[in-house]
Amino acid sequence: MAKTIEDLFFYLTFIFDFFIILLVLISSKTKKIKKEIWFIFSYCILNSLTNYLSTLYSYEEEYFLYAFFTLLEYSIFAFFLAKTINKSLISKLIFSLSCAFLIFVLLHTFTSKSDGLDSIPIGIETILILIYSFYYLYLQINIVDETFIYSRYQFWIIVGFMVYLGGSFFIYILANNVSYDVLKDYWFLTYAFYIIKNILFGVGLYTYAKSSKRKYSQKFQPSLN
Amino acid sequence: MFLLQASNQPGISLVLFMGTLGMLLLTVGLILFIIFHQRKVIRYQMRLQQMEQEQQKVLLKASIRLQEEERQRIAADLHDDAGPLLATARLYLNENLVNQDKATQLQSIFQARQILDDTIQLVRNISHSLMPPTLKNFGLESAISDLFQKISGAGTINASSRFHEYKDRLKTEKETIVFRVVQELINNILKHSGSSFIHLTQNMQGGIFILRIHHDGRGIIQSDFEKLNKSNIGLGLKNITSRLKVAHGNILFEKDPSQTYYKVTMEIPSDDANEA
Repeated sequence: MAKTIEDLFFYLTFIFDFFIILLVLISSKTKKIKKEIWFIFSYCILNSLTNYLSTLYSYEEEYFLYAFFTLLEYSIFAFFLAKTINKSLISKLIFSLSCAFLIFVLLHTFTSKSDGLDSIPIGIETILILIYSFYYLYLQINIVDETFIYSRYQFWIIVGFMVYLGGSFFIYILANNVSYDVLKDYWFLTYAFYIIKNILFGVGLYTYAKSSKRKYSQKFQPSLN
Repeated sequence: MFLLQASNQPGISLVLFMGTLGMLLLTVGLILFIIFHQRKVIRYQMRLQQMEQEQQKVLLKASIRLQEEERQRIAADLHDDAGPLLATARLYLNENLVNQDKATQLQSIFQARQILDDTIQLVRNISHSLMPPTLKNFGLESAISDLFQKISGAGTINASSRFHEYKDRLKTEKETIVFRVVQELINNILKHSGSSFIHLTQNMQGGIFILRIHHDGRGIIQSDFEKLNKSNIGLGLKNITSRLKVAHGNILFEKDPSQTYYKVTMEIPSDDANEA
């Protein structure tokens, strides 16, 4: 039963990745897509590819695959947040922390024992991304205008990061310290959080498409004077 | 560290479950808090804006009403005073005048001339009440000084004014605004305060034109002014507010620290930086 549920969630991640990819492609036909959205698009392709390759590779090879994926995932999320926050000082800080993280992940991957999952890099990635996301939300609180926070597409995507990383944080950091059976019981949750994240990405992309349309129609409103 | 130590114990499953649940609740809780907080802030802003709009509406209505009242007053002055005077003059100058003797003719012409002089004076008074010539020709200082001399001349109140730093005059529009506000304030003091003296002083401070009026009668403080401004009464006070808004100025009603006098302070920026 557990195996069936786990498999179901695993396959659903592919479907939801495909859903996001499709959404971006459809949107790109009618309007110009921002660079950040293309990064989200690439992330979904990357995730599907990693999930697929993980079924082909051996346990030891998987370790390097996941480490590489963590690095790319962090880079995409950090880039998106830096672009969204759009403050030169914060962007520089994110860039510096990202460089330090890159060096750490490379050192950790090639020097530590390959034991299933790169828990420590994932833990650090989660903490860093959550800090950037909290900062983004803090900035949003201080903005006093008449647009609700959830009317911005970035909000939904960042909430997606937070739910996914926050939800799977404990599972990932304890992955190498619990028995395989216990891990198997909880592993489907990471897929569930991944699916929730993709649903939130979908809402974000829908909001983005809607807001772009609104801007377009406002710009070309005829003057009735 | 605790979690790593606890990893080999049977409770690890619970730790994993509670940790995941805790993190999820924390994240979702934070997001919900931010959403609701922002909604609250936006609603508060919108309410403030709405209140400001309502206040603007009240001021606009007051201004229109005041204009109407002023028109009615001028119409009444012309109709009730100038009209009968001119009609009387016409009576003296009727067609039968040529058939009358020279003495009667001279007397009628003299009477008609007298009435026409009175009418001219009346029209001049109406015109002066609309725009005092002293203000137009000699500026705010002279106009206020003139106004205060007239009040003092009546003998019941001692009114005095003193301008300390008024070498660079305000723009004509601003001078008119200040004069109208002073007129309104003085009118209120004369009508309601029962004071024995009114004293006006002028100063400049960092490009701000400051005018203070002291009196020893019954007065109002800022909270009364704001209350009256929001209510349906106090048309003159609303007029003061709307006039000062145009000049980017503000007004403060307070009681002197000695609790003996009431003080009204008006501040108006002398430069045009705010008007751009």
